[in-house]
Amino acid sequence: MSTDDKIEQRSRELLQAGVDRIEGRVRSRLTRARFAAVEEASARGRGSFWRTWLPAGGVAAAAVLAVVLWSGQRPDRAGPDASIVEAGGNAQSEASPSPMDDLDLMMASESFELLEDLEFYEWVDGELAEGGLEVG
Amino acid sequence: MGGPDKLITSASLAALDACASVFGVLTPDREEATLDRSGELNRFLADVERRAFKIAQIAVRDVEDALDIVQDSMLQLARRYGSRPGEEWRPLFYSILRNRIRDCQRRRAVRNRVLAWLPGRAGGEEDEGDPLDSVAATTLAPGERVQVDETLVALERAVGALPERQQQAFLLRNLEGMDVAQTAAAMGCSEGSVKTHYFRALQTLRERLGDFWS
Repeated sequence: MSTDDKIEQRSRELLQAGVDRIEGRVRSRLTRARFAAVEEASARGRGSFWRTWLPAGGVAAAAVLAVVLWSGQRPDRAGPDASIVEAGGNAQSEASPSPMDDLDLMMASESFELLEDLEFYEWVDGELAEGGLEVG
Repeated sequence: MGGPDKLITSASLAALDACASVFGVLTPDREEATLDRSGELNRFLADVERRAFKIAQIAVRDVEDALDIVQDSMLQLARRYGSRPGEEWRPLFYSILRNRIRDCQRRRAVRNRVLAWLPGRAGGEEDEGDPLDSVAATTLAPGERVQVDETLVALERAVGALPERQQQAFLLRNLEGMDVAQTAAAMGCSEGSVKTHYFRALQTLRERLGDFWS
C-alpha cells in the first residue's frame, strides 16, 4: 500500500469518526432543518399548479381584454363611412353598439338599480299594456 | 361494448383531476406522488446532512455558521430543485453548499476587515472554536479516544487550512465518497482539475501530518 493510499484510508476512517461523533444538539438542529426543507418542497408541490398557470392565465386574460377593446375601437379609427357622416356621426354608435358600450353598460350603477327593482318595472309595464295605469 | 363508456369515464376522471388541480385539491394519485417525493427528499437529506455539516464545519470552523450553511443549503435544494430527479440532488446539493460556505467566508472576511479598524480589535481575528468542542462522548476506551481525538483534530485542522478547491476535492472524495466525475459536477469544474486539486491536497497533508499516517 502506497503512502497516498494509507493517507486516503486513514483520512476516511477519521473523518467518518468525526461524523459519527457529532453531538446530539447539532443532530437535532439538522433534523429540524431537514423537516423544514421537506415541508417546503411538499408545499411547493401542492401549489405548483397555481404558480405555473396563474401568471399565464393573467397574461392571457389581459391579452383577450386588450384584443376586445382594440377591436371595439377600430371602426372609429378607420373613419366613419358615408352614411354615418350623413347622419351626423351619431348613427354608428346607435346602430351597432361597440364592446366599449357594453362595458359602460355593465359598469353603470343604474343597471344595478334597475335589476334590483326589476319586478316593479315589470308590473308597471304590465299595467301600462293593459291600460290600468295612466301616465302623467 | 363499453368502449364509449370507458372513454367517458376516463374523460370524466381527467376533468375531475383538472378541477382538483384548479382548486388546489390533490387527487389520490397526485397526493401519493407528492408524498413519495417528500419521502425521497427526506431520505436523501438524512443521508447527507451530517457529512455536509462536517464539511461546512471544517471549512468555516464554527458550529453555528456550519449549521446555518447546511440549513440554507437544504432549503435552497428543496425550493429550487425539489422537483428534479433524485439522482441530480447530490451534485446540486454540494454545489449549493460550496456557494454557501464561500458566502460565509466572504462575509467573515469583510467583518474582520471592518473590525480591524476598531480600537482594541487589532488583527480582527475571531476566536476560532476548537473542533474538539463538538465531539461527543463515545464508547471508545479513554486511551484510544484521546488518540483518535488528537489525530482527528490534527487532520481537520490540516484539511481546514488547505486552499478552498483542494479542500473541497479532498472532502468530497474522502468524506462524501464521490468519484472524480461526481466531484467535478459538484465543484463545477473538469475532472482533470479535480485530480489536480486532489493530488495537491494529498501532497500537502502528507507533508503536514507525516507522523500521523504511520
